[in-house]
Formats: sequence, structure tokens, C-alpha cells
Amino acid sequence: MISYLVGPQMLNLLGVAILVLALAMLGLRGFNRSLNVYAMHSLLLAIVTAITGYNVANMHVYVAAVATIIIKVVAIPLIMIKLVSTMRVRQESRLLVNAPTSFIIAIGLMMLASHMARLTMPGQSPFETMLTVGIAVSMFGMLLIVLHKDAVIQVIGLLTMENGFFLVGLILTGGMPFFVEVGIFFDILLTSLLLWVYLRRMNFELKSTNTMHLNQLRG
Amino acid sequence: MEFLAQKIAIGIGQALFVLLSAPLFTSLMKKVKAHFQCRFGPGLLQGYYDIWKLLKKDAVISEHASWVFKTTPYVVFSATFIAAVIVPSFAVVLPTAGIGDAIIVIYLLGLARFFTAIAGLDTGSSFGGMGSSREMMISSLAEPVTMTGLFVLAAAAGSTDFGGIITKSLVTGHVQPAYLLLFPAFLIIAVAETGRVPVDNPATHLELTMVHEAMILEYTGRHLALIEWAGALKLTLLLTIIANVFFPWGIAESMAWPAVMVGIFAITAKVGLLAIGIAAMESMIAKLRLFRVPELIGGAFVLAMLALIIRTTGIG
Repeated sequence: MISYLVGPQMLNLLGVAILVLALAMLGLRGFNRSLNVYAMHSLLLAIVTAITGYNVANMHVYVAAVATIIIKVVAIPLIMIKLVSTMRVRQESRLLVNAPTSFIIAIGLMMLASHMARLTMPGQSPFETMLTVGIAVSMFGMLLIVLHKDAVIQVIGLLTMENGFFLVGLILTGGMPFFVEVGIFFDILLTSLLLWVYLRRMNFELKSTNTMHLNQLRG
Repeated sequence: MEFLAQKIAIGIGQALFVLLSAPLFTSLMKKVKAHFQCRFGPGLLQGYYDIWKLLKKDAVISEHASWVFKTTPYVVFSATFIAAVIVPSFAVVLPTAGIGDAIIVIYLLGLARFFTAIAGLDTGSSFGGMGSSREMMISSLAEPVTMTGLFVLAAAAGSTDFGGIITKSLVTGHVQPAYLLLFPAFLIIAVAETGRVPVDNPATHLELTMVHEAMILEYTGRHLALIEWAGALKLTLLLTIIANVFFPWGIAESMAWPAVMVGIFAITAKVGLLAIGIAAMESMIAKLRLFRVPELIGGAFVLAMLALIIRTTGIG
């Protein structure tokens, strides 16, 4: 538990901004825009990580913040945008339900997240906010995977979900042990590499990244 | 006794201020849009000239029109004008605030919208009816957002009175998370309610996509003048609410003359800046297809709803 704290107000605002960006991803359909929003989302996450590092006065949390910037803000969006621009497909995803319905589901999930955070950490202002935001963002990521038909957006959903988990972990522990953090980043890098291969392969085989077309592969 | 005289003076001042400043802001928006299109555009006083010219002209009324068509301009203008007088523009504590609170303002605007819509149907032209049905669709989406947003503000201030809401914003000082969510939501609503670009286009009479202009297509002369003036008042009213709730700086907290002077200057600058911002945004984005509008307003609803959740759980 973090005892000493800088700028609870600032953390509250950052938390709300992270939430708004996660919601924006839910409303967007274009691949490039979604990836840009994901990069901004990760940047805010890095700022929150750095503030937490300052609060717990721990060097390796700063390392995690820098690693977040390098991997999630620069590297992953760059390779994904490059991959998407080479694909000759419709650069827009389709949803299983319409956008207002997905927003209403998001409101329900947000209430659930708020309730869960209340049960875990009652009444501690910045922690409760950040925990709510963390849980909500991971659920929004899941929603992206479930509702979108397109593999590119589903990958972004997975990455968003991971951002949410990272935030929850960061807030609950005040910075995980160094080797755990290295493991997480390695995991993310490897996952996105695998998904990159998966998207390329899918695009090559089906000339589309729509997962509904996957059943064409049946022999 | 002197205090009472001052109160009356400020009340009348508020009424005259909103009435007379409204055409200025619409002209300002036209000027900014013209600038983006590499034109000079009409001068800032053009709004006043237009209204003056139309007021002198006789109204041409279809022989099929009923009393609804003839009374609508007066109902719309007076309802919008009363709503605009209730909302504090340059001083927090207004003598006119006794007329009503935020809920009354919403109902007055609803009354004006209802009459505009049935007047669009009244003359029996298919164009007017189309505009009415679209307007009703947009407003049925936009009104829950306005209500939810006002509930958040009222819950924060403990009062539905605009004076109380603005005092709360003045006291808390720093930016609050719930307000951060509400600001974009209210901006989207202001754009949707006044029929500006991503939702409707105020500058055209020719496209099949228009909403508000289609309803008032049959109005001429002094009736048109009143409707246009009411439109300008509505825009000023919504921008005043946004300016004073989210950026309450400069508003007069007492009724001393210097504070009131600063307040008048501050509200003109704030609403002017918001108008320039909206006009710039209008020039940069394209109009949405009608069936994409629910997505935009749905986004605003989610923002307002999240603000409500955050507010009621006591986080921000």
C-alpha cells in the first residue's frame, strides 16, 4: 500500500482521462485512429506509472514507465500501423451490435467496476478511482474483443485489456518486483509479435482480417 | 430602497444584454467560418441589420396555415428569451433567478422546440414535416444527456439553481474529474441543439440533409426575424451555461458596479471564444450522416452517465 502521495487530484484527473480514451476506442472503427488512441492511452499510463514511482520513491517503477513509453507508445503502434497500411483491406471494423448499444453495455461494466473497487478499497480517493479505472479499462478491452468482428481491433482490445491489468497491479502493489515487470513487458512484446504474424497470415490467406471469414478455411 | 433599484436595474440589464448580444455571436461565427473559407464575410453587425430588415417586412402566410403557424414565432421567441434571462450571464446572483431553475430552462427550450416542430408540419409541405421528424429524433436523443448532465451539476452543488451551480464551480476552484467528463458532453449537446455542423448545417437551404432550416422554411418577414433571433438567443444561452459552469472566472459575485462591468466583459470574452472555437471546429469537420448522429450523441450520453457514476460514488 502506498502511504505517501503526490497530487491525488492529478491522479484522479489522469484516471478519468484514461477512462475517456478507453471509451473513445470503443466508439472508433478506423484502424489507424484506434491505434493512435491506444498510443495516447499508453502514454497516460506511463505518466501514472511515473507518478507512482515518485510516490513510492522506487527506481524500478521509473524503469517500467520508460519501458511503457518505448514498447506501448512507440513500438507496438508503429509496427501495427505499418502492418495495417500494407494490407489491402477495408480499413474499418464492423461491430456485432450498434455503437449506442455498446456504449450502454460500457456503462453497465463501469458500474460493476466501481462496485468492485468500492469492495476492495473503500473510500481512499485516488486509489479507488484508479482501481475503478483499471478494472473498467480491462473490461472495455474485453468488450472490444467480443463486439468487433475485425482481428485488428481485437488485437487492440487485448492490448487495452493488458493496460487495464497493468494499472490495477500498479495501484494495488505500488510497483511490482523488477523481474515480474520485465516478464510482463517481454510477454507483451512476444504476444504482439505473435499477433502480428497471425494478422499477416490471415490477411495473406483470406484477403481480409474479418474473423467472420475464418470459417472459409474449413477444408 | 436604493438596493431594490439596483436589483431592478441589473435584472433589466441582464435581459437587454442577452437580447442584444445574441446576434453578435452568430455573426462572429459566420465571420470565423468565412475566414476559414478564404472570404471576408459579412461584418459583425450583419446579424442586427438582418433582423432589422426582416422586422420591417410583412409576413407572407400560406392560406392553409392555421393559428399554430402564426403564433409559433411569438411562443418560440418568448420562451427562449425567458430561458435566457434565467441563466446568469454576468452576475451570479440575479434578481431574475427567482423565475426558475435549470429544469425550467430545459422545459422552456422544449416548449420552443415543440412549437417549431408542429409549425413545420402545419402548412402541409413535405419538407417541413421531414425537418420536424428529424428534429424530434435528435432532440429525443439529446435531452437525456442534458438532464443527466444537469443532475450531476445539481448533485455537486446541492441545488438545481444556476446561481448555486456556478457558486459551486467558483468555490471548488480546481478542475474536477466529473466536470472534465461533462464539458465535452455539453459541447456536443450545444452543437446538436443549435443545429450546427456535425449534426445539421445552418448555412444551407438547398440540401436534403438540413433539419432546422427545413422546419422554418415557410417563415417570412417579421416571423422569420423572431425565429432567427430566438435561434441566436438559444445559442448564446447554451454557450453562457457552458462558459459559466466550466470557466466561472470573472463573473460578478456581488452587485457592485465595477464587478458587474468586469462580469460583462468576461462573459462576452468567454462566449466569444467558445463561439470562435465551435465555428473553427465546424469548418474542419464534415457533417455526419443522419444515422451516425445517434453514435455522436450516444457518446455524449456515456460521458454524462460516467460523470454521474463518478459523482455519486464520491470519487470526484
